[in-house]
Amino acid sequence: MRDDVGMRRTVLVVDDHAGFRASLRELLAIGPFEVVAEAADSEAALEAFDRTRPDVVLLDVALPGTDGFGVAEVLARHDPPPAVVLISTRDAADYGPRIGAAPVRGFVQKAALTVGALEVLVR
Amino acid sequence: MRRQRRRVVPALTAVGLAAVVLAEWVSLGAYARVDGDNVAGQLIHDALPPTVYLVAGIAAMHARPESRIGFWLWLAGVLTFTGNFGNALVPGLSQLSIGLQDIYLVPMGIVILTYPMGRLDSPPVRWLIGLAVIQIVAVGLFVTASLDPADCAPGWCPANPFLLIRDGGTVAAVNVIGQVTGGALWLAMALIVARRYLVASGTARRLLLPVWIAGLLLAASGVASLVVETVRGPAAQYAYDYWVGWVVSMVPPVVFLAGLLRQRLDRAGIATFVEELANGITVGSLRDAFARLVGDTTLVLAFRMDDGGYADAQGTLVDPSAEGEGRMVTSIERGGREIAVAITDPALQTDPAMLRAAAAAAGLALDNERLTAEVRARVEAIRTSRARLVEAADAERVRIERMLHDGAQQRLVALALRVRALAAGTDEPAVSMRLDALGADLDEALAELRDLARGIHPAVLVQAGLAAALAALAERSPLPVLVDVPDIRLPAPIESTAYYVAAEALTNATRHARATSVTISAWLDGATFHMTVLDDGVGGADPRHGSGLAGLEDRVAASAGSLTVGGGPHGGTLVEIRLPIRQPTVAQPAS
Repeated sequence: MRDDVGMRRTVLVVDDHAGFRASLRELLAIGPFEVVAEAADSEAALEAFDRTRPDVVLLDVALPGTDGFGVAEVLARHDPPPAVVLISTRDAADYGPRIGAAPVRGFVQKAALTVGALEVLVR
Repeated sequence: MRRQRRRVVPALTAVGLAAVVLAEWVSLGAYARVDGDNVAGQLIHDALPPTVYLVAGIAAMHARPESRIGFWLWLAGVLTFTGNFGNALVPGLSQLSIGLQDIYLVPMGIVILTYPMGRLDSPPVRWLIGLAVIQIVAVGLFVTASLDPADCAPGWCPANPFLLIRDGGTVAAVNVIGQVTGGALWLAMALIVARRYLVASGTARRLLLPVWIAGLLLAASGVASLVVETVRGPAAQYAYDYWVGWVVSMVPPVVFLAGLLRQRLDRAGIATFVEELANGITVGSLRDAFARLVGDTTLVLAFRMDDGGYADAQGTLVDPSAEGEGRMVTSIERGGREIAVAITDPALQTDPAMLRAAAAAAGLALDNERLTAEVRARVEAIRTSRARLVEAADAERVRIERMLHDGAQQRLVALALRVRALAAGTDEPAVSMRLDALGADLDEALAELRDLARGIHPAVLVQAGLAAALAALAERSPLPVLVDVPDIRLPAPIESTAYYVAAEALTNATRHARATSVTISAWLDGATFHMTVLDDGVGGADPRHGSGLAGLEDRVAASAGSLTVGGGPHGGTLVEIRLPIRQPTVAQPAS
């Protein structure tokens, strides 16, 4: 609403819960974001990333197989790296020092996800 | 058994005597062909060493019927005469006799490897003896097949019906092969004897003394013979072997016999054993006494339990059949019932009769120790079953916490996001306001659900370990909490128990002790985990009254640890736990 359509940032949503992905797509649509791909696990996430090269990756920590921390490590090795934001139903404190050590822009607890919070992290 | 032996010994004596007479008769025939030779002297020279073996063997069989060393000495004596038939003018017999004249080395090797009991229980010994038989027979038959009477002085050698090999090159090559394989067998024997010495302690090492004396003497004499040949020539070597070598060859049987006779007196060791028992028994001291008695540092004393299993004095389960390949297991009975087994190194040839005599002397002490072992084994079984229960409960908590997050929490979050999207999308201020309120309610419900999940099991413990979990705990605490805990991963039961104890101690400090600060410290001391929680409150906490620490005391005990609650060095309350770190908490037969 504040930016025109041309300024929208492309987003890859990685989460194994389809209902959550749909809700997130709905929420992001009201901001300057466009969800260009979704993935339910780490393998699909890396494949979708190579295909669409999004600006932003919203990455669930608790994924089946390689977890979000592992996927973030791989994504960080790309040039240019995407802006990765970890998301989880758990609090940041539940992961101890692991979030601080991960090569990501930040962490948002899922219930606290708003367009505004995201904009601040990926600016 | 004993009665049978009484018949066997005279029979073997008769066979030995017959062998001496027969061999002497054959030699007499040969020496009679040479003019001017001292025939009587020659005969005595030939017959004396084997006779010493025969006499020593029969004496040993008589004095120590339970040892087979006597039999092997006797057999070595009889087989020594094999070579005498080389002088017989019988075609074929003469050559076979010359070829197989070293066969007596087999029983000699058995004596050296299995002294003092003479039993072929140890697999490496059986292998070595088997290979030695094959080597000596193979090389011997080759020699038989290559002896050409044409090389003999006329009239000295009979025709050879086995003559197959006439090629000098082949003979030389097989000679080298025979020497190399023979050398390898001697080396293997030396290694086995050396290993026995290393495994043995005190008494058993003294028992092996005859082996060392005989071995070193024979080796020294062999070296001396070579030195004489190099310095003085073959004639001098012949003289040396004829006299010095001859005397030396008679020493081993005498030494072995003396050793066996002395060992009989060594049973006085049982007196020392009984004396040790009289000085008082602590748990495990019975095993040590047995180990000292038989001189086997590796001895394991495993008591038979009512369920048919075995456990040592500490109550640790022992599986005698799995106690390593080739261990010797001796059953110890009392009143016709097996009460224990002694597991020993077969190389040491521990005398079962001695073990049983010691067991009889130990008497009630053995029974008591068995009962103690049984009780300890049961207590340990109960403890491990408690530990398994605690672990199962923990695993269940982790599972429920995950389910809350992946199920209800996830759906509510999706709902909240959609409400938020709706609120942002509507142009009606009234609708937008109500949607915002709905969103706020949902957020509150989610926060409560997260607290519930964390109360069931702190996810941070699974995700990041104890240090991070305690840091998170400190952050949520209303009191300032100093956390000094190494950031290492420990077995899950240790992490959970330590976390719950710290959380409970922190709650007590906050609610009851009126503390203003708390310090949580943890460290590893070898295989023991220590943690202390110290506050500066009014003190006086008692784990048995009202506090949640009482429940945690059981949890700590299930991990074979300890929990103490007391005053700090400068007042306040000090909660301290120690937990042994044993990797698998499930019951496992220990070795």
